[in-house]
This record gives sequence, structure tokens and C-alpha cells, in this order.
Amino acid sequence: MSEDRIADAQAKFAALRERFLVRTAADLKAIEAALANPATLDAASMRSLVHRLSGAAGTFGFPKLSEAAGAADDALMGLGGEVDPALDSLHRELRATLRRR
Amino acid sequence: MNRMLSILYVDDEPDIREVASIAFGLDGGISIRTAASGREALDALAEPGYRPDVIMLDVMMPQLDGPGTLAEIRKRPEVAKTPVIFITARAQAQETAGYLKLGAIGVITKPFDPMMLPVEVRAMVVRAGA
Repeated sequence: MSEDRIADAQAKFAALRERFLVRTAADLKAIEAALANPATLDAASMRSLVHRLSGAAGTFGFPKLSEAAGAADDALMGLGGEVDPALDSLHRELRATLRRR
Repeated sequence: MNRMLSILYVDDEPDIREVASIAFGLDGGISIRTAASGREALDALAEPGYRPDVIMLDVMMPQLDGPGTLAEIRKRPEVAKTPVIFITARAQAQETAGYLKLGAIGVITKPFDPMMLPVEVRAMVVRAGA
């Protein structure tokens, strides 16, 4: 791999990472809404959100966020853990990630 | 020198498709085409003359998931033997074994290191003798 090619790829990854963080701010609002009013929780769209976060966050260099999203994904899928604490934990990690930005 | 490889990369998550495209671009010998769903992948594979060397399938996709897409691919004689690699956020040993049993040549776990993705895929292809 040439150095130019690697530098070009890294610049592109950085731009994608920034876009991911912008979207993450919207995800935070969705999770806050779900926590504020659990009765309106749309389980399918929340599963989709946390599953996406779980895969993408790690790839963009946020392993703790990926882990918290993975735990929420498991809880929503009924594979282990309680949904509310898992979403609380994901919410905290999202806020921390955005604060560190 | 590495052989040229053509990859069809199927994932419903646009960010991950872009990451994969950039990552495979690091390897001058790999060409990549992406699809956003199992159905879109099957449409691509129905195009005359399009025969990728490897198909990479995200396991969890809405409507037609990765294993379902693989089952459809296996029904099509012209692409039935194309090596498949699954990509999954859930890689428990038992699940990985299940994907290999379905006929995949490998399983890549999300999150993956984009800089290592081409290397990992080439290694799987070599190991499988594909």
C-alpha cells in the first residue's frame, strides 16, 4: 500500500467518522425520548438503531459505545439483560462520546 | 503479486458500505461493488456477465437477511459456488460455526479494523482455496 493511498483512506475515514458523530447526536435524542416515555418505545426501530450503532461505533473507533449498544441490542432481542438499564447505559455512553468530541 | 479480486459487499448500513469501499480501495488488486440489501445483491448477480469472486453478506439485514440471501444464491447455478463471507456483529463461536456450516468460507466480526479488511478477506480466500 502506498503512503499516499493510506493517507487518502485515513482522510476519508475521518470524514465518515465525523458524519457518524452527527448522526449519533440524533440517536441520542431518540433514546432520550424512549427513556422519557417507555410506553411509546418502538422496539423494532430501537433495535435497528442500537444494532447499527453497535456495528458502526467500533469501526469508527468508539469501542465503549459499541459495547453499550451491543448490550442494548442483546436486551432488546431478548438475548440477555434488561432493556431499561441497557438503554440507560447506552444513553450515558452516547453523551460521554459526544462530550469528548 | 496478489491476484485480482472482485467483491460484492452487501450491507444495509451505508456508513459501513462506505468504510468497506475505502478499505478495499487500499488494495490495488480488489474491485468492490456494494449492495444495500439481499434483494439488491441478487439483482446484481442476475446481471449478465457480473460474476464476483467473493460475496460478503451482512448477517442481519431487514427483509432478506444474510443467510436467506445465501440460500437464494445457492439456487442459482451461475453463481451458486461463489465463495461467501458473512459479516456479523454477533460472533459467538456457536453462531460462527453455524455460518460456516451454511457454506461460508469465513466470518468477519463487526466492528472490524478497516485497514485490515482486505488482508483478512484475502487470507480467507487463500485458506479456502477459492
